[in-house]
Amino acid sequence: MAERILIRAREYHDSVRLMRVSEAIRKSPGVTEAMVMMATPNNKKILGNAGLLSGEAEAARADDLIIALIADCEANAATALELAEDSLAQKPGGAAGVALPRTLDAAQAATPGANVVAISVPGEHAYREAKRALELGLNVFLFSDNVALEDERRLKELAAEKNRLVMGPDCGTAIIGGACLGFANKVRPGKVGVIGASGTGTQEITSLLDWLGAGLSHAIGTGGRDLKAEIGGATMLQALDLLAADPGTEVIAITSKPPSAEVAEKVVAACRAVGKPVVINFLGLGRTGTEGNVTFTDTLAETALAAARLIGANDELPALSEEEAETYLAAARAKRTGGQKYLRGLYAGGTLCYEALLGLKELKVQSNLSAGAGPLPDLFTSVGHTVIDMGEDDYTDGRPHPMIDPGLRNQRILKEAADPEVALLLLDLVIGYAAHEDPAESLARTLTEARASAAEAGRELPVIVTICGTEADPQDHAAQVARLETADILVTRSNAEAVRLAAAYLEDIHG
Amino acid sequence: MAEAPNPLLSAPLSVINLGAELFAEALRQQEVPVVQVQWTPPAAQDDDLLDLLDTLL
Amino acid sequence: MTDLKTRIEEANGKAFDILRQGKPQIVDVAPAIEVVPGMKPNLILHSAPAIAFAEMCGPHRNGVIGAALFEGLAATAEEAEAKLLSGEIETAPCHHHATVGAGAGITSASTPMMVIENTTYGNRAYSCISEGGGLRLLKWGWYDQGVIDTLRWQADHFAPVLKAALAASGPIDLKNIISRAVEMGDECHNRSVASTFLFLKELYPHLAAMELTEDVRASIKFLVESEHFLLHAIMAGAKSMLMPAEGTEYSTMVTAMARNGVDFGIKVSGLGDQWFTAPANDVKGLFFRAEWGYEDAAPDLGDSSITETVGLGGFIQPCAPTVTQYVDGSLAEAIANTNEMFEICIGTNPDVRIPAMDFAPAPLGIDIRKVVKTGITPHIDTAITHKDGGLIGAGEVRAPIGCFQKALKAFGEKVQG
Repeated sequence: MAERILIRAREYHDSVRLMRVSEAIRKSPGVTEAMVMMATPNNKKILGNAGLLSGEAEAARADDLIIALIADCEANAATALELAEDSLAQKPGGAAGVALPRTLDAAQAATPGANVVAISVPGEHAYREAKRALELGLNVFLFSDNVALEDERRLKELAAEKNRLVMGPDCGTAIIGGACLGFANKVRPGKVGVIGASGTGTQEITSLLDWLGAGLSHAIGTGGRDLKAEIGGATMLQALDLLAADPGTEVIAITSKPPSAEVAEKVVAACRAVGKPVVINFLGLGRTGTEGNVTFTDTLAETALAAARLIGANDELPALSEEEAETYLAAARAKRTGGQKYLRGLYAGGTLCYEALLGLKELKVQSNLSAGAGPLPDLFTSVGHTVIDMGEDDYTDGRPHPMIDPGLRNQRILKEAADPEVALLLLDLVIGYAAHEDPAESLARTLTEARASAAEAGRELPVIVTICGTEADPQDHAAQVARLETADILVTRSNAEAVRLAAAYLEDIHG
Repeated sequence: MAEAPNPLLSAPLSVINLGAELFAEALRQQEVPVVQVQWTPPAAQDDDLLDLLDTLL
Repeated sequence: MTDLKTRIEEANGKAFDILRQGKPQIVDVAPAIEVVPGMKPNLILHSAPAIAFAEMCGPHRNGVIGAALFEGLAATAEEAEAKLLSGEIETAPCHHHATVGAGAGITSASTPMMVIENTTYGNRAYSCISEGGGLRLLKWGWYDQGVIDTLRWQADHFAPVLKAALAASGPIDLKNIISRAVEMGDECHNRSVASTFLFLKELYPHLAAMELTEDVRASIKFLVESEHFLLHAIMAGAKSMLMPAEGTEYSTMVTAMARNGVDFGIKVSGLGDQWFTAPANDVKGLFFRAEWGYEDAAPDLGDSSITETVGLGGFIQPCAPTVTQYVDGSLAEAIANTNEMFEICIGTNPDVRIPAMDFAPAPLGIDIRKVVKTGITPHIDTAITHKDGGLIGAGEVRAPIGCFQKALKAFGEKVQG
């Protein structure tokens, strides 16, 4: 075994880049662990846990870079280190030798046509940059989280004054005129405009709009706290005005967790006033039906369907044939052992997880999200029915989001497979821009390995995976489905369907 | 003073990206114009100076 | 961009171009009283921002007293101190007289001066000639009979020889020497061996052509033994390049950095003659003898950081990997330092290239806005002086952020009214 720990003084890279470099090195031959991180106290802890904290690394400053890796031999360690150095040397953006701007102002000066600033810097620095962007008259896509609620309120006040949008903080997805910001899918052009308080909620609806043949004009993100009383739906209301005035938008769909009654009333009132049909999805509120121009829906899939129907798109929601699903589940039922009683749901998409919890209300489910579920006593050990959002900070601390790097979820899958009480795995696979380039490959391999170990213990392990994405996404949707199906996985096109099938399978067990 | 209407939905997107290069790469993949800012955390100091810097730099 | 920012960018572009286009040449050697503007028989110049004699650190006090004795302004140290305190003997920063001085920067009426002309703009700057090698020199705040004898010999015998040789050679292109020396292992502050050789190469034919008197022989011997002889000329060259860039309205470019062993001071182009100061940091480095340590060291001292102000020295450490050994450093560390300096500079200097960084042009023109924004302060190679005088080590030091913050606040008040 060979270890390399290298400190590079005063070299800053953003954490996502470093995670991707780390992941690239882990794939290098013979490498068993690799971590490339800034030497912050938190990251030193993570390195310590991996046994990669040398004295030198311990002494490094927070603005120093640490490259740490373990390989099976000296030659492979040297190769991996070279790979790390090459990856880090690659210039982001501009052509070689062209200096990148160091500030927002400099960037704006160099690109007078810029109209959106995407911000994903650490939360404590995000407010200042977003404020500056608004002052410069630019719209803001604010991916950063950990922005104080009070700062969000101030930003949105300034945005209203400047007549610009702050999408976020903690905004994962937006699609403006077909251009994807953050994690988003390539959706065909159409006349439905979407406003979403959550990233994967918006991804699910917009992808389904594509499958339904309806397409999308724009999808605007608001950030998860926009409908809190303190913020009062400031971005949601501005976005409604924009879509109301947009000639390319004929129907509007909005999605959010249920807001406070007061904000809900304000948003519904605004929707009634836009002069276009609006589909409102307050996930989990259980409100359905049509009142004037406003239609209420319960699930993300129903939201997409209702909006599609309103513009006259008549395609059906993509779904498995009843026979296909029944064949798979019947085979699983036949092979199930008596001890296999519980569902384990491991989600990368937060709102997909939330929707699953709502759909599985009848079961006693534990989760790290509330959504009607009981709290999971140990986040790293499932008990009974457990459905978790692995994109939450609880799990991602210092590691990439599972939509970028499936490593952590793969570990958890193997752990669940070793539990004789597990009857069914329920997973999501989110594709699209900024997501992992080939997530099905890594998931299929992990599931094959997981099932092999379960088989050794005399168990079969059925798996349902819902894919969120479109046929035009860069990962090639059909290839992703095919790869999973080759590994004998039941693949659904909507989360609602996946949840329904999972619930049906479990009903047999628990009556 | 009333600001100009927001052109967000009517003009082609052109992005300045601060932070994760992943997002700039995704935009480039879509052939959306994007400028990556080589952002580094500001040094810790008082807010007056940071405000002044906003005015001067 | 706002109007104000545009004005600042334009002003910095202008100041930067002035700095880039400066072309220093070594043109003469002459006593300070004959060439330095405002020089007087009872005036002793020292490095860095103005400081009252009573407040001076050890090396400065010793240096000033030594100069008073050398000039015959006092017969004893006690008498010199009394006259300095009473003001009968005056002191002033070198910088206020178009002059820069290494270490304590002690310069008095009969000190032989290197005269540098910035031929692009026609202005001149000055620095005393090197006292040669050795740890106990006036510039390190040390005086004894030996030091004073050397100064006397330099003034009476060495300087005339050098002057004659220079007259014969004609102006020697300092900019060209620097461009070549940085590719030969010099960063032109803590190491100026290659520059010195290149200078002597220009001078030797003319020394050899002179009548080989005792003075000429002794002068050649002295030059051969002074391997960092050219540093003082490089400093004056830097000053001569910066002077035309002073007083550019709206420019945030630094035009001087200097330390007096108490405070670190900077001047900013758009802020006129005012110094902005903060307590000088301690130098980190290697000591020449085991008996010396950090407790013996005076804080950072001298005008030599004028070299960093023109993007030499600590800004281009990778040019002189030997220098990094003072701080147990590595080439990678030196490159990291230079990469940081790019972040606080207005532009780069194609006349100074860094071989170890694929001949990247060096960072040039410090912008106080970028220093405050990034928290990265200029990185300076420097000597370590004993708090009671004498050279005891060498290493590196960071400028304190405080003086940049003060300057930026003053700049904000000035331009925002």
